Amino acid sequence: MKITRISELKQIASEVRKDIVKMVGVARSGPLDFPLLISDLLVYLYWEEILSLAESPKRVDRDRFCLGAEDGVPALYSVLARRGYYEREELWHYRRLGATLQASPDFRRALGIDAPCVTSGTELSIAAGYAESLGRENNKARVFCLLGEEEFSSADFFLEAERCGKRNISNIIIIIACKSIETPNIPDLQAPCMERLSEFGWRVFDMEGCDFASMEKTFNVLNSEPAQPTAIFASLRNGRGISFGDVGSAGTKKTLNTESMDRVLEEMEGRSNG
Amino acid sequence: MDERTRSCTWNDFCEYLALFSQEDDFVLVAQEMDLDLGPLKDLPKDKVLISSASDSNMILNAAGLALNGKKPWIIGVSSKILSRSYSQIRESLAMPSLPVRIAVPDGGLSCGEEGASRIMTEDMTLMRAMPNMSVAIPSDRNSTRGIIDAARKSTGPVYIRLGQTPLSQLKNDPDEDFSFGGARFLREGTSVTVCTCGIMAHQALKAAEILDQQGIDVEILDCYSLKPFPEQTLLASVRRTGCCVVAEEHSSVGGLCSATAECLSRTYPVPVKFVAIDDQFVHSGAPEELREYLGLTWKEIVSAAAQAWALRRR
Repeated sequence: MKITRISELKQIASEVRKDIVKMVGVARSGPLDFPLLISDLLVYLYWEEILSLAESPKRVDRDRFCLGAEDGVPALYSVLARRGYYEREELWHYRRLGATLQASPDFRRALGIDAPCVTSGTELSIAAGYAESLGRENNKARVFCLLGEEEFSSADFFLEAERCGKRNISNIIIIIACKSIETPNIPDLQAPCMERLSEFGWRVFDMEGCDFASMEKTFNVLNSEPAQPTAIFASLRNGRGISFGDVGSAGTKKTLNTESMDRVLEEMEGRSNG
Repeated sequence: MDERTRSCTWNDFCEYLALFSQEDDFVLVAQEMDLDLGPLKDLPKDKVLISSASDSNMILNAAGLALNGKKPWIIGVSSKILSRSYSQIRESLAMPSLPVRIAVPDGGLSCGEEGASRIMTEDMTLMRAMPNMSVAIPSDRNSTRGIIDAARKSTGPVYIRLGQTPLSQLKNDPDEDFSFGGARFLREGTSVTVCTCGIMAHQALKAAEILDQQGIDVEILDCYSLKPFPEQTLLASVRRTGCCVVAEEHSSVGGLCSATAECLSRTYPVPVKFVAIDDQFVHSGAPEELREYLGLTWKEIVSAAAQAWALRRR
């Protein structure tokens, strides 16, 4: 990827982060940490990888995207707005009564949303059903599914992953957002999870989910190989792009007040210009 | 009653549904299990999705199929599907109003031997309370077929409660309409409205014969569509009779009893008596024994109808 392209994507991701802060700030509620973390990842997917056009949002052969972590919704909304699925004006009505952009994504209201985002159970099962159905119709579309790392502790996730492997549902690509900071004395759950998925017949990759060059490298490899169920572990340890200061870094749903929103935006502007 | 023509609604369901398996949007979603699927067990591979052992995953798989334009039929044991996967049904089927049909073979007391954990007598309560969900319960072969036809046309999720108890045909009109929101008259009368569904419709007809001898002319409504509820049909009947008995093989909380009482208390209050399961978990036992034990027979309907008639508007 050319350096200029990386700069462009970085710039877009930076704008997406500002959108997220404004959305959550104006709504006075909503998750902040996780959407900021996945901004680079979603920008890479929607600008470089996912075949999906705002001009024909219902195209049969478009790639599908299932968001399995509801905390990531603001990032998805911003990315879709910037891809032209709806006016950016909609972002400022996020979570409001009657708004297109509800707290829980509604695919009947908002263009570009392909699937409901479930808070219980694993989104992998929705994505797998979707992908299997497309595959049976010989539709070449791929189904991308972004999951949180809490899936590591879900028995349902592994049951479904095993089924996908057995059925060789080759048009599914799951991306597991890993935001945990490696801590001594806490067992690393990622490595055993990668191992199990490999045993089930999945291709497994890891990449830096905040590094466009790393993401490109990973997708170049997976796109050059024969398709099979694919899992990508995306490390997001340094992806927020801002320091939270008194907004708080631990609670993902800490509310921004107007003052702290302005301060965060100011910091972001400073970084963009710097 | 001709014993040779008796069949359980689950077998009727499998037999009739198999006729539509060649439709483009047809997919059967199930787990590997011991259910007797009749002709459905021979479907082509591309018409079946065998999910993992997780009931939640099965519901979510079906949602994924529906997002791609399919109209899946989920089959599974009621106690597992509804209780373990309630939130998945709610979030992935009902909220987006996807055309997924859930059919359970073990409704009511028909698998009574399996015990309290398997006998789901609050299934219709759970499904009825869920926005966008249609709820239907057939009482014979014709209504099973009619409900399948209505579910095929439905654009939202549907819950169908089926059973294992052999039942006779209540009416011999193959052209009857079983659209959601409707009810069928099994008997016309002017003294008491008996609002019923499923297996209790058969008990209501027996009760009507006895009551007829006592000079009480019973009108029987088979409310196969619990949701949307056939309010206008019920009101038209109750305006004639002035009282109502509700008989269902279900908890008295949240099912047909509640739907009827809600409708009448809001629009046309009249005396209402319930023949249903009290707010309790039931013991294991043969279905017929359990029905006797829990007071779900024609005798209780006779008694309730006599009481309602005595209290009716004059």
